[in-house]
Amino acid sequence: MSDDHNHSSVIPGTHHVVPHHFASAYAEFDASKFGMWLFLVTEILLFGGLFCAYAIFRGKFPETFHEAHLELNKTLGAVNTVVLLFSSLTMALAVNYAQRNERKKSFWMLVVTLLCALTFLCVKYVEYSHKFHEGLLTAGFYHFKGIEAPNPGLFFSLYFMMTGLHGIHVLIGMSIITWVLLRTRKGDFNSKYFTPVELTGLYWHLVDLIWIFLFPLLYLIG
Amino acid sequence: MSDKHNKDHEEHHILPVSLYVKVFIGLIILTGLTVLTSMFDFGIMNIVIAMLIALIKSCLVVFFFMQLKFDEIGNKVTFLSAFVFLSVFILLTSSDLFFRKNPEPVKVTESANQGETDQNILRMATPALVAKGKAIFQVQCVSCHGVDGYGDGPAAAALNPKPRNYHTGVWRFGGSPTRIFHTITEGSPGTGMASYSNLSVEDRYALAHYVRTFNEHNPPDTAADLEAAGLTGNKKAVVAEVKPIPIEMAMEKIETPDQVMIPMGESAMHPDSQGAKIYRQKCVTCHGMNGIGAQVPMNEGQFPRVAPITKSWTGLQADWVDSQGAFISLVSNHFPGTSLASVADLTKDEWSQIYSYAKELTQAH
Repeated sequence: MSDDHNHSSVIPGTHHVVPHHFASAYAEFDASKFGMWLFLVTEILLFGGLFCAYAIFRGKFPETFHEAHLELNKTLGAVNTVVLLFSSLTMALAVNYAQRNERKKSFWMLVVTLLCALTFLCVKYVEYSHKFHEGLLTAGFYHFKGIEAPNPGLFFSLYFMMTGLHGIHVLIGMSIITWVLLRTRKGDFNSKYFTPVELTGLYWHLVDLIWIFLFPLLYLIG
Repeated sequence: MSDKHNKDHEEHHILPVSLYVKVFIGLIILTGLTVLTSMFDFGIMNIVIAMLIALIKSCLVVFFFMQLKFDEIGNKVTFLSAFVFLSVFILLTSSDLFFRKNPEPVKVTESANQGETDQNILRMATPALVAKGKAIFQVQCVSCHGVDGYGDGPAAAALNPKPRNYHTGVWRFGGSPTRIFHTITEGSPGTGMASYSNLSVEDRYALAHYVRTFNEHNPPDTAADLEAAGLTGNKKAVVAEVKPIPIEMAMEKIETPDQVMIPMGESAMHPDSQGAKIYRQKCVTCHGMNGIGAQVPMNEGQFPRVAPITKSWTGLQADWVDSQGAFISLVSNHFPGTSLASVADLTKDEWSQIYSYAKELTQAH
């Protein structure tokens, strides 16, 4: 790092140039991270609308939610929870190893995270295709015969909206992780500069965080 | 500057790998716990326990995996404020579920007097009464009060004061069922609102209940209302609690489309004659293709309507067959209690054409 703040400086060991309007590399890291936290706030409020709709309709139709949730596969839901929690662990470790300058370990942790995300989506595909096959679809397309409580399509509208939006986040997360993974292999990051890895980690943990609430709300209604 | 430089390095907290593994094990144990508790029925506590566990899990993720515990105060406040706003959003919206009140049940008293008993039952709205009221309203009231009760019927333009708009919830003689019944019975002096005492008691109550559905704030019968209606004497006992018709159901009633008549019969005579043309325009929906009447289709789940079948007039050897004047007078003058539409705008030629066509139809049988 250069002491002369009037000029942009390259972080040693990387190709990253700290833009001249930042006082230091840390100031840049700090600002980037704050931006990410702000983005995550908007993410929480985005999902918040769906959680609110869920709360209202579950309060209005408790029997429907109870009967409808029995059609979801608890085991697959639990497996996916463990898979996602594990991917969060490996993501956190990937950031940790990047901080320690252990590039190889960081790379492999990212690979494992990516594989976990892929596993999650495969399980989700199995679940979705079962629902499509049975006619357990959103309100307008619902044609399953086995639920007697009123408006069962409502539950599945919420189910597909919430898990679908979450699934899209997993997909986006996977592409960002792939990008960070390739850059790690190229040697773009070290203990002095690992902002992209850190921010990807924050995003990925949020995806995990949302699922921590989705799992009991959708699969484990008592 | 070098001090600042060193400080920068200290800001990156590097946690031991073992801590992450411990947090992960904690998360797995909590996941197992939440699956386990969901298998037992704790009633309302199931959701509380599940959300509590989810909250602990999310704290572990946020504070350790996302390292918010070691982050700057600004980031902490920013991220945690999201949850404050989220709970305000969800709690305020959900409060509607807990504080929305259902309409108060109204006590029905049974009276020793038979007539009063009937009124005490009729003054309670039922879906059947509201449906009946709607059907009568479409025949008796729409010309002034309008199809949707806004007081904007075709005849309203000529009236001063204007007919009642039921959506305002304003009443001259009170908006409770017995008060409206009284207004329908007696009329409203000084206005175009005539007495409809020729309608049966039940029909008048049906109308009262129907026009009450246009505004959800119409008051129920009070003790004073009942006394004014003479319905308080000889009380036997409180026999039942009847809920007033919920406003949603009433709105549904209002929104169901008007009944459609299906003309009966198949062939029409001399279909090209002028009389046949007028007949098809003015008469066929109720009297049918060859004058034997029409049916109102009953949809599944619909309440019975009044006059499901119109009377055939083809078999009648009534006066009108022999006199065009009698025919015109019969058709122009509204039959009390029926929905014979006004056809008074016909020219002299058209009258004779429709008259001869109607005569032909009777002879065909």
